Amino acid sequence: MYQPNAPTRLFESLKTKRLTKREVQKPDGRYLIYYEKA
Amino acid sequence: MSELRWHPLLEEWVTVAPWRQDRTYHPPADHCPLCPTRPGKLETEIPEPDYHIAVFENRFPAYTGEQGRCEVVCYTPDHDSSLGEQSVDHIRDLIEVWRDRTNELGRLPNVRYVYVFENRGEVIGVTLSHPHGQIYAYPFVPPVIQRELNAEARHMRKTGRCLFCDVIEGERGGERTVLGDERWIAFVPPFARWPYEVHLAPIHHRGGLADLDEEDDESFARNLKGLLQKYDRLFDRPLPYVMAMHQKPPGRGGRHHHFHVEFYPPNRSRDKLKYLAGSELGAGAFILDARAEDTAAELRGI
Repeated sequence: MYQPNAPTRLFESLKTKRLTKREVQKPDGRYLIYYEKA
Repeated sequence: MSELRWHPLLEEWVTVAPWRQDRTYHPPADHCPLCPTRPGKLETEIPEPDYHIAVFENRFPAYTGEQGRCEVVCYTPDHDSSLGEQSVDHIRDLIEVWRDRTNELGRLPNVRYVYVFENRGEVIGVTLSHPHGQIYAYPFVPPVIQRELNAEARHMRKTGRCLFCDVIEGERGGERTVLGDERWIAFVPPFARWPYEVHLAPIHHRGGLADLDEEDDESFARNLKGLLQKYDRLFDRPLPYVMAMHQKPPGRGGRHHHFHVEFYPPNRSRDKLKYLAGSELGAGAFILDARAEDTAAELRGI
């Protein structure tokens, strides 16, 4: 059965001037990443 | 986790993931899981009331844990929009997201290939109509990509040149060109397997999203939007398609690979679809009812 990849802290900061990113963990352990205008 | 089963005759992996049978199937628009969560409404996959671009782990993944990842890329909070309707500036942001995901997923220990793609339209099998794409981080190099890598390596050994650079050289300004500029070109390849198949590629040799510079990004965004707008003008309605990004694999392999994006719309006319049937599915031999030169002229002219 599917097991979410929790906790996931694999991701480095974004190397771009256009966007920032913010990672949150969903209640079931999956990750969600918001990419926002820098 | 999925079960990977080896097909000994075709020499390729088949992924068995039975829980995907229960995935969300055509929810009503007011229950769309890819919309932001509106005040007073049910929580969606994205709990905030608005977003620019959002990526999350697929709830029904084919690959997870040590095998790889499956991600959903929500292009926009606007449920009734599409990739081609986004501004060039927004598509440039999407390119940044695709690149970031490619870089990060490509570093996972067992991932051998990162595949960025979009399925658009119910006839393609899309179960959520909200504009979105997907990313699969596979624990193997998928067979189509492997065949391309093998052909590119053979061509390089034989000629000392990049195979796709040679293809592009033969297409620039030719009768199969659909649109382009000094950086990117879109064309119906002479070997197209779908009537309105288009390949969109950087003219200069680039292996993947990580190799594009800012001018490449700008041109990529402009030409991607231009192509998708042409597609939707073709029959005066949203054209279904599969968009498939063919990048080099992570790491040191595939150094002769030339990044390109392939589009396969299933339509052969406004109301008729091309189906994969006996010859295509059973024998792997595509038979086409249209000449690439004619469909390219059609797309170029709209």
